[in-house]
Amino acid sequence: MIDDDETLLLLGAYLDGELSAGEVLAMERRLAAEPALRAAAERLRGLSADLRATPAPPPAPEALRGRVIHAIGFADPPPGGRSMSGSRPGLWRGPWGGLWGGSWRGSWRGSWQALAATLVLGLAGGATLGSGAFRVDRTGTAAEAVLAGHLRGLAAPQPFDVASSDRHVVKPWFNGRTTLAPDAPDLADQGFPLVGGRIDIVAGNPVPTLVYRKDRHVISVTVLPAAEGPGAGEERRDGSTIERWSLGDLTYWAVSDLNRRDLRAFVELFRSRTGRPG
Amino acid sequence: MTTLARARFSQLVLPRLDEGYRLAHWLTGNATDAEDVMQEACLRAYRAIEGFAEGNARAWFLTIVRNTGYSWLQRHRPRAVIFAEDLAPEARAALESGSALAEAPVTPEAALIARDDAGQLARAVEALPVAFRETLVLREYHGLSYREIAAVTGVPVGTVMSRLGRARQHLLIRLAGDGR
Repeated sequence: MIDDDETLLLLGAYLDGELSAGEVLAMERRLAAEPALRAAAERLRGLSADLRATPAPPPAPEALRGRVIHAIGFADPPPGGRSMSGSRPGLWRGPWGGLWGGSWRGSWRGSWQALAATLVLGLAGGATLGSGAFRVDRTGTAAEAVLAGHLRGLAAPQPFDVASSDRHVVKPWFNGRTTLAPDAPDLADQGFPLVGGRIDIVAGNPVPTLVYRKDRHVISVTVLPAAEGPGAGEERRDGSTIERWSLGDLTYWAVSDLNRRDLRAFVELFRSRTGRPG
Repeated sequence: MTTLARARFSQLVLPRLDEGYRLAHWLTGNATDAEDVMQEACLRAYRAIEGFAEGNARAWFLTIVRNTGYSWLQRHRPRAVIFAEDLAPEARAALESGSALAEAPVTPEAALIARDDAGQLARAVEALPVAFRETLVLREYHGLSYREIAAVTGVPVGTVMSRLGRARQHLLIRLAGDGR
């Protein structure tokens, strides 16, 4: 049995893969030379293996997920007048005024079943942004996710994962990352240079987003299967304008803080360059 | 703003509910309390989400769960739990150096029972003082690196190393003689 504290700590860190290259070398030399140390290493390895083999606590109950989503909506009700959202007041406001006051457990069990039935429907698909609880109507869901991807891109050091103005680089980059590989027209001659692409997550699925610039403004064009958001339209949310249109079996969503006129011009241009009939 | 916060919440927190719940379960020791802790932790995470810069979202969320779990334990089981942070320096040193964990070797009979009982190891983990338990759990069950554990538990990496070492030696002593 090794009872030298420092050696035991180093041995643990060695087995955890936390030593530097030089320390690893020194430890491996010692292990080769000291049978007692090897035995201690075996015991520690065995312990880790046993620990990892013990059953973990069960995953979070589905009801917890539902309650969390409900509570988030409850804690922070959406402002009125969201044009595209078919939000259902019943999901946002409940009779549980003291939900976080400490007595929620008893007080709200009774009404849970009804709410659970509503929530579970939407949660089945993976509880990404509002698949059910935040927003019932799919167009609103997709718009929110698309906008969130755009804003996250703006908050990041760069709004794209692959930087290229070459459409023959950007389009293939999506292969294997998403199931959609959209055309990436270069509109630089009209003042909208292609600057790259990124992956956004909408309804739990990775989808391609093309990133263009107009002067200092960023334009994100996210491409979804048409079923995710039918039809064409325009709306403003949180200072951004969202334009969507369909082509074939895809729906395109353009998001930007550009003024409407310029964004509309961009969309027209984009459509004309990708405009296969159909 | 709420749109962005909700989007980030569903991207950063919702996929980690299971993991957070497991940590809360280890900290509180039962399912009902773990749910309490998780509800509160999720609300805290939501309120803090706009301040979270892109980075290690997993460690960020586990930190919130851990801290929520600690304040929950302090509120509901103030006497059952010893917090290293609250101890006098000498007692704290004793805890870190392992004397609080020292215990008589188990008898061969007890060891035999231990080997036959699959839940024995889990119970031995549950019996660890909370500071040691969380370090061990974050390493062995959550697979966090020493640096991440240090960030989550708010102690230096060296303390993580020594707590992990103590916890493992303690478990080995408890399980000593079971034939490994």
